[in-house]
Amino acid sequence: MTDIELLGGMALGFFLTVSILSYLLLDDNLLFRLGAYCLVGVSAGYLMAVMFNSVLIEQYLSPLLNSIPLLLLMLLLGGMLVVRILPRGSSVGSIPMAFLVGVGAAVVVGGSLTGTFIPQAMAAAEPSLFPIVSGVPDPWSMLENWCVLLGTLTTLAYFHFGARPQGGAAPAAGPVVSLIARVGKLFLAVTLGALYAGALISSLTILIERIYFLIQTILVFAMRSGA
Amino acid sequence: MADLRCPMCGKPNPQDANACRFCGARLKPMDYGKGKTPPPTPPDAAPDADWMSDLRGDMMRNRPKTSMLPPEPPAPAPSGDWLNKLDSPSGQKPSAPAPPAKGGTVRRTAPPSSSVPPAPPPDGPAGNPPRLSNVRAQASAGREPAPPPGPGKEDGEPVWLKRLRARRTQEEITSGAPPAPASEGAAPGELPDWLSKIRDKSTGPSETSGAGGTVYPPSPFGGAGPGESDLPAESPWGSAAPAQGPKFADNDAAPAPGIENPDWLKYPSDTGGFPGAESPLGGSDWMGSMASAIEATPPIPSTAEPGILSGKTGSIKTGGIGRPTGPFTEPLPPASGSGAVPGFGPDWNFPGDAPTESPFPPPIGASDQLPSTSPFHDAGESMLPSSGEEGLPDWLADAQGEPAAPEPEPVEEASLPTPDLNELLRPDALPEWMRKPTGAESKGKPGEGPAGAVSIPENLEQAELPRWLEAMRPIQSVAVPTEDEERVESVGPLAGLRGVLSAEPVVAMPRRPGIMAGNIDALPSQMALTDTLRRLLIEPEVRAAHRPMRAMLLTPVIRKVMSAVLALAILLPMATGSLFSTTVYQPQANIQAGDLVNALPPERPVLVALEYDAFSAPEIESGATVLLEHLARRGIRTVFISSQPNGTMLGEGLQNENEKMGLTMPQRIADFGYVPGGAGGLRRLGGELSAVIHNPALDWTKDPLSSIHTVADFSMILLFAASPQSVRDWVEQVHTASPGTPIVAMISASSDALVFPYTQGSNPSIRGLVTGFAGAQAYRVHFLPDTLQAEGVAAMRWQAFGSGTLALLLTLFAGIVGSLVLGFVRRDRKAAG
Repeated sequence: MTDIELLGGMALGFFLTVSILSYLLLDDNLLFRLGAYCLVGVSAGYLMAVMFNSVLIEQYLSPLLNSIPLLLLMLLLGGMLVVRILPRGSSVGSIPMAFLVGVGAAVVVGGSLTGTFIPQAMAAAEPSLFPIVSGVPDPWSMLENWCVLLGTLTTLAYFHFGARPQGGAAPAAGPVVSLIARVGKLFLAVTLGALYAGALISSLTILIERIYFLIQTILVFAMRSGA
Repeated sequence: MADLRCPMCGKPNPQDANACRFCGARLKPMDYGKGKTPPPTPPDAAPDADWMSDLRGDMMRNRPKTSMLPPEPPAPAPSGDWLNKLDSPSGQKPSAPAPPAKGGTVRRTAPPSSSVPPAPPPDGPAGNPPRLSNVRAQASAGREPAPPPGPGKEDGEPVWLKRLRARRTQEEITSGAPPAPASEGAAPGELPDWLSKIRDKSTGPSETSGAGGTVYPPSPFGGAGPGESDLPAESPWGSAAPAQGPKFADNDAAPAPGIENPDWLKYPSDTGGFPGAESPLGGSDWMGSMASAIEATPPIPSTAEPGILSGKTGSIKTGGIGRPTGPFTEPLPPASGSGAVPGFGPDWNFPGDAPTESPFPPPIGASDQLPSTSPFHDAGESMLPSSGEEGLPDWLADAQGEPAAPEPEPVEEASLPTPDLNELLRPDALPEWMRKPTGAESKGKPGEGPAGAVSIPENLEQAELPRWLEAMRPIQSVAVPTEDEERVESVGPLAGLRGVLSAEPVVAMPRRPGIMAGNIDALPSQMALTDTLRRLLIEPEVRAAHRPMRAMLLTPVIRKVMSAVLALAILLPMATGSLFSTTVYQPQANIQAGDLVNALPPERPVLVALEYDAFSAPEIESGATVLLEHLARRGIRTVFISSQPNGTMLGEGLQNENEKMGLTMPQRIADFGYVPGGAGGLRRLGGELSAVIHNPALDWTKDPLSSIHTVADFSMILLFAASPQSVRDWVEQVHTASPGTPIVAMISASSDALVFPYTQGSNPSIRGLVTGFAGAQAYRVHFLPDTLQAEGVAAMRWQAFGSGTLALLLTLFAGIVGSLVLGFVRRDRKAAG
């Protein structure tokens, strides 16, 4: 990459960064919209290019020469999916759509069971409530394990929807379930708080990087101009 | 020539029409001719014809034949005049015996002079109440031999009708009027009962009197009563029919042995007293007395207006006769010069007619001599001229010379006093079934209260209805004020009648709807919900008026303030230098990641998955940089892959950027590029990689790819992910297919809470986890401490991260404190206000 390409890229980046950050001071303005439109357009164009090259050519046209029957079937399904765009072709495109939805659902459900649900459940049941490390009880581990157990049970109780109507009063859960659900609500609140804090940290990190990019660009151009 | 008006519907019809073209009513009288009789009833006719319709037919036939047409030329045959056939039974030729009356048919009986008893009406088939026919037969059998019916008349008159006549006759007798003829049916030439009644009413006892002192109303056709008809024998209209009154069975007549009338039909003759005697119907004979009362209504004096029939003076004496209303009795306008109403009908007069009062209201400009009348004239109003010879048509003038029809022989019947109608309608005079239960009448069994109330025995107590049953009790609506039954209507067409529904005071009175909500038992929670709904419906406009203004003003201000604070916090280290220590908390997952990288065999490459976008690049690349540096330090080669279109592009740019900055990057032996399909595409990575990756630039037969066939051939999967979903996809789809290949992930700080569980357990799916900029800094501090920079951009970034995090913490703390304080202040204001 030559210097011109580098400087050009930095200048363009500087301009787009400033245009996006102008929203803080000027709200919705022309620069902000220009930067947003450029982001959308470049992303769409790049995606189109990648799809054409990486999917159509590499994943479809090239193998077509090697396995014609299978790829003819793929061509047929793809054509039926394209016909779905037409008003009368909606019923024709239902077949490949059903195939896609069915395969996607199967993949997701199978992976969730084997990769998330079962391992997570086993991991929650494994910790000992009275862990001993080197022959000595580890209080921190014990506290952690108890918190995990308590948080799991109370959070599940919070999502219990087995309330029954009691006479003329509004449906309500039992007193024990209600108490446990309140504890689970606390754990959920802490989790949501942690997620919010992580989002703030991520945003702060991005902001720091952008500000220092701007400073760096200014310094580079200043050095180049000064030089 | 004026159109012929239909007496039924009042619509005009052509002059030559015999029947109305609109309603079908007959417009011209049936002319049977001299000596002709009405066609007898066919013998094979239905024997069970409706007796009421037959009665109606008789009455129609016996009505005086009047019309608006000009007089027809007089019939040449003097004996063929139908009016002559309407002679009284005494002066008439004995009429042919009437055919046997049909069951259930009301026929006029024979004239009183006839000794032939009327044939008992045979019982008819279904439709004819046999009981009525039996009763009729019994009643007829118990009477004295009734005069034979006139020609064309039939027997079978109901008992009640006969009794009405008998009572009337008795009344006339007591009042000195000649007795009514005993004929139970209007013989030809005789006036029908209803007509004679009207005549009696109008004339009174002093005007006409026949033999025996019975007062008959003057016949509209001439003559003051029976036997006094002044119409010539050859009059086309015949002679005046004798006034007939109700005929009743002789009071002295005893019922035939073995035949006894039912109680409800035992009338004055049977019960021995009339009126006021107890009748089977309860109370006095209200029906007969009512009819008599109607007949006894004082007549209306006639006015100067020509009548329907007019002849010589006195030939048709209508003084006080109420003109019978009917199809053939439509009044004519007065003749010109005689006080006639101009422009109302033809102006010719009947001979002898005096101008009478028109039943219709006179038009504007009519003579003042004509009194204003309502369309419904009172009974007894004379509609025919009392006298007058002017303007008699020729055909009627010829009838003046006809001899008067002989008066029928009055039937000596017991005179029955006719009670006043008001007396008859008194509650105590009404039959029992018509009376309303009163307190006095309901006194029956001891212990009983008012009618309809049941006394409660002593051994029982009032039960309490359950609440749900009480709730079902119908709500009493606003009681409609009862009408005064004694009130006499004074306006409108029903003027003069009693018991008329009052229109405005009651019907038009606005009333509340009948169904109203009663007491509703609602729970406090339901009431609270109701109140909430009410406030939502009523108050939202008030509340919404304030909030948008506050939100619109504060949001931009808050955004600018916070931006300024954060910018100052980030730029502060540039001015102040290092404020924060580089010592960072070391998470356990961080250490596990570094340990794993340290344990990797250098001959096996590492699959680097680039699952982030340009938005998250600053945060992810800070950790990616340190991890790639660690791999490079270990001499481990890498292969790039991504399930996102721009993943590998970002990775390539990162590597190039770091190399330009003098950092050591690992060797990239291959770029698998973009794998489409999301989770489904990653699922395919569990199989043969050469079948999944279709990159023409890759040579799978040569080193280093010759030793790579599946994901299991890699020593580790280094995952750079910005979203937790990407981590889940790789764990669920790739790690489950190759559980022997560990995964080390570098994620964003926002995904830490959702990805951390994958690092727990005895066999976690993710062996190492580096989270955000702080995690990267901690990893560098622990595993690459020599790469730490005390100065420079990297150091500045860490200091800016510290100050910025501190600013965020302070801002959150200030917001929490401010919300608590404001909450307390608002609560105090609510409590105070």
